[in-house]
Amino acid sequence: MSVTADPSADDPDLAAAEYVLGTLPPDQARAVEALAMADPAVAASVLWWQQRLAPMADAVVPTPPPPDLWRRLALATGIEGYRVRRERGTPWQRLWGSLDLWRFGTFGSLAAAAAMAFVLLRPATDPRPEFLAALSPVGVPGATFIVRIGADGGAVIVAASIPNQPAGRALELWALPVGATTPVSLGVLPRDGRARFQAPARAGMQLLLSDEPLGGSPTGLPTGAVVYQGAVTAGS
Amino acid sequence: MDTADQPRDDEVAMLLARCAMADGAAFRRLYEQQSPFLYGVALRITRQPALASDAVHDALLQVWRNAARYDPERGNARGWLLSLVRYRALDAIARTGREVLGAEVPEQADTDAGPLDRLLGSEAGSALHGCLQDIDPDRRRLVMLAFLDGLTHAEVAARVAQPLGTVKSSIRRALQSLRTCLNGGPS
Repeated sequence: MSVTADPSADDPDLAAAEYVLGTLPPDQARAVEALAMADPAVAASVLWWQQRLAPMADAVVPTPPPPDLWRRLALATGIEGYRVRRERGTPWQRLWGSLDLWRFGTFGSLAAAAAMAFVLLRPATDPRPEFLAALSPVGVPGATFIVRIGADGGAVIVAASIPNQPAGRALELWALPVGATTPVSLGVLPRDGRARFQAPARAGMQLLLSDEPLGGSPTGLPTGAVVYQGAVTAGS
Repeated sequence: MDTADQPRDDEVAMLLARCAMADGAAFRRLYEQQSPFLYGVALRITRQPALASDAVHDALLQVWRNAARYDPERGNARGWLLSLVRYRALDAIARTGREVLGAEVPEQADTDAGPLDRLLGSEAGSALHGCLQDIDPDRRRLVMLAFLDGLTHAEVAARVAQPLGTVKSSIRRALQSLRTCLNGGPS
């Protein structure tokens, strides 16, 4: 790896600084990225430098982007037509409306499904549960997954026992609000069945786990069997 | 101290949390608030409006899709947005090369001390400002050229007409000084 031939190899933190500064040639920058993936200390160094050097960018004079940039983004995200200045309905209805538009915006995109893959669960930061759900195998009693959803929508899912997924398949989590007929993807579950995510919680909402290809459903709707399900209830 | 250009970081973090809930209005607000900053940074690096637009577009699209990945406990929401845009802009010029006759952007003026005062709008900026002021002015200029223009060691060397080895070691010494100073020690 070329970075090992560099004097910065003696000081991985300095290599991280040069990476954040942007002075490394592409091959050495990729080497630092690989180190950061493998070594949490290097990842922490990169984050430290990103946070400390970021204010330097405030020396750049802000420049309005071309007018078509927002339109491109609105189309790409699928929120074109969202009435920013004329929000009507309950907050829940507005949220549901935007989720629905978002779903069509990412329809058919594997990349989008991968992008929505869960962030790995980190310990000690569980949100205070406002809502709870136990997900059981369909038609069979007994919880396999527990979901805790905080007041801020921050949620965690943990597997009571690691589900035995076939190779090449993954479980995708879906929310089905009361009265809705189509579920909304909340993300693809890692193999260990533990993840953090954001969930629009309301008591009575159903959570479903369906059997999907790795990376999630290519259509934006469940393509495989719903194998686990459970209802959200108000927490204690 | 907050200015109109530098909204409170927790406001940006809150908009990101709302984006994670697929809130289109929050995404629009985030765009209106942050896109001049992000586009300015991308334009400075790429020198080409089309590449700068693409960098901001791709970064903000990633923000919309991955907003849930932003962990408020890490702080510095603007820094997260900035890093997404910078790496896209740097990738773009690594792929396509820099257009020398591209957009008119200031080259060196904002590596001087004056524009550095714009860093004073945030706590982290004030800390960096103080530490940058303590560095030898020639080294400070190299660091800021590198960061703001997205130049590699070799490009900085060409820009300032100094040997590559000299530029590398000058930048490293500057970074070592910054590290000591930002950790609260003497630079």
